[in-house]
Amino acid sequence: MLELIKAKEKTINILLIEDNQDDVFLIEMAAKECNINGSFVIANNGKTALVILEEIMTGKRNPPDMILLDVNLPKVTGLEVLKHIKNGETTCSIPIVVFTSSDSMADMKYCYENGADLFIRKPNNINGFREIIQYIKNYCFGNRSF
Amino acid sequence: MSFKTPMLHKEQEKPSETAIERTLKKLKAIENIYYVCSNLFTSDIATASHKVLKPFCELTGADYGVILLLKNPGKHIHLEATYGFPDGYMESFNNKYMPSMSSEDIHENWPSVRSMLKRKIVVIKDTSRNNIGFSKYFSEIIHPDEIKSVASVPLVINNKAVGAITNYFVKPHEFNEEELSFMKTTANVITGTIERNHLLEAAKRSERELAQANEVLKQVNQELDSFVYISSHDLREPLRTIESFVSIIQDKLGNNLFPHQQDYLLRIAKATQKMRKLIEDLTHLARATRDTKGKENEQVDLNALLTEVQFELTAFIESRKAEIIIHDTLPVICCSKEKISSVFKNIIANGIKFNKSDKPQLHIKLMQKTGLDPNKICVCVEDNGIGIEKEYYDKVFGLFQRLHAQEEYEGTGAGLAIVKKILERYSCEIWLDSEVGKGSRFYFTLPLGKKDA
Repeated sequence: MLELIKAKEKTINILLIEDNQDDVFLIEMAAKECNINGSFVIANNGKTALVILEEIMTGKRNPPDMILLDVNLPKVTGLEVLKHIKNGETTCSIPIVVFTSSDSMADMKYCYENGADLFIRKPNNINGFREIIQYIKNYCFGNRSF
Repeated sequence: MSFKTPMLHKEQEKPSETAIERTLKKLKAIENIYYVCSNLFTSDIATASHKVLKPFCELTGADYGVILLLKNPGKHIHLEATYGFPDGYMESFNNKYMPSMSSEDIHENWPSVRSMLKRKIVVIKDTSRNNIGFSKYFSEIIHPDEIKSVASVPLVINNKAVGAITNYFVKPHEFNEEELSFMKTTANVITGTIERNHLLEAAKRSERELAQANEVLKQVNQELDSFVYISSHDLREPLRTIESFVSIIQDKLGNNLFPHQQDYLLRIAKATQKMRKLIEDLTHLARATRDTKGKENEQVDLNALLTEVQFELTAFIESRKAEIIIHDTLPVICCSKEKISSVFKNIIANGIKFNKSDKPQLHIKLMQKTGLDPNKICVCVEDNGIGIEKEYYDKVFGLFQRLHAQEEYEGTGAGLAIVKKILERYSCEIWLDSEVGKGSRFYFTLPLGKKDA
């Protein structure tokens, strides 16, 4: 019985808003390595992300446990998507991890001011990706703080 | 038809008027015309004509006066201003006649034309004794017999006659030297004013053009900076992917790889690292000229800034057992803290890096320099490093310029280029002197006061 609950707990639904397929690959790989039974919904541009968010807001789709959001996205930027998430009644409480290759202090400030829970520079090695997954794992199974 | 006779004309006949008084009056007249001219901000001789003809005639005592101007092409003669003529005459004259310098009925005997052709003053004391071609064009206003004396002064600009001022006198008029010189002087004042204004306008025009060119240049520069900034960001993305996947191979297969395979991976990793550093430096360089959003004019205490810089470099300073000695209390300056911090960091780090001494020492001093802008200060950072040969003094400030092999001294060679670019932004300079084997002194100026936006 206990094992069953544990197994169920280990499934984390993640909405991954990311246009770089390599990063998607690396995140999924790191998730597997960290024994996260992650279920990823992937939006590879800002517009698709908005469509998915709309589906969540209208109840057509279950809200994810976590949103991983890139900043530099085609069509609609991550910063706009972030605002959208925070403005939605059903989406505003979903934890958001912004991860980006931008080292702009202005972006970081903007993200934190607009409700991002964590802002991380995109790593350049597999260990960095593992760390991000670890953060997510801790957040979802730990004390719900990064 | 009779028109007003100017007052001065009568006054001049008064026997009581002394030569000195007359001279004074003329001087006053020149002064008056000069005043009129100096308030003319135009190179347009037509506008000038209207303003000066009246005072000119009043002072020569002429009964009638005209200013004729030559209009190109074809040297068309245009009546520009009249004195003593009825209102509206000028328009009807210009509509009715279109005399040209090459017209058959224009001949040298017309005093105005003659003065223009000869570029000399033409004086006819008694028309009854000369055959002058006055009659035709003005005969409906002034009967030729009515005129006894004529004087015509050419208006000459750049050695070309552009027109003439002509005075007509009802009574015979003796033109003495003094009067002639007055006329010439006045004509010179008029043409001088026009020439001056022409130059001024040309100067203003080129100033405007320069400002426009500057604006374009500024824009292009900004675009270039944005381009470097954006492209450096985009260049980092694929690099990051390469690094990530190399790290996976190293991580998962590392122990199963042959030594030479491991070596290849290491080389890839090193090369990508180097490229990352180069791109980062490019970004820093581009950033040196970008605004840091409203933080360009902070009040920055240099003493505190230096403490922070030393703190940031702690690990490096300690690893080299370096010592940084600040000799003077430094002022508070107005700048972007981030950028000036970067200036000190680069120069201090260089002083320690390019140093073979067991105990690298850096001295930071405030310099008194003659001829220094009072709104600037001059700082000297002196090291006991390896020094720089004189022929490379300029080269060290070039982008990615390195004087040594990568193995000997690490770095991309962008540091001083970034420093120079930041300082240039504040209209500040950097220079150095150095003695090979003994050390270098880097001098740079910093903005003391508020930087103009």
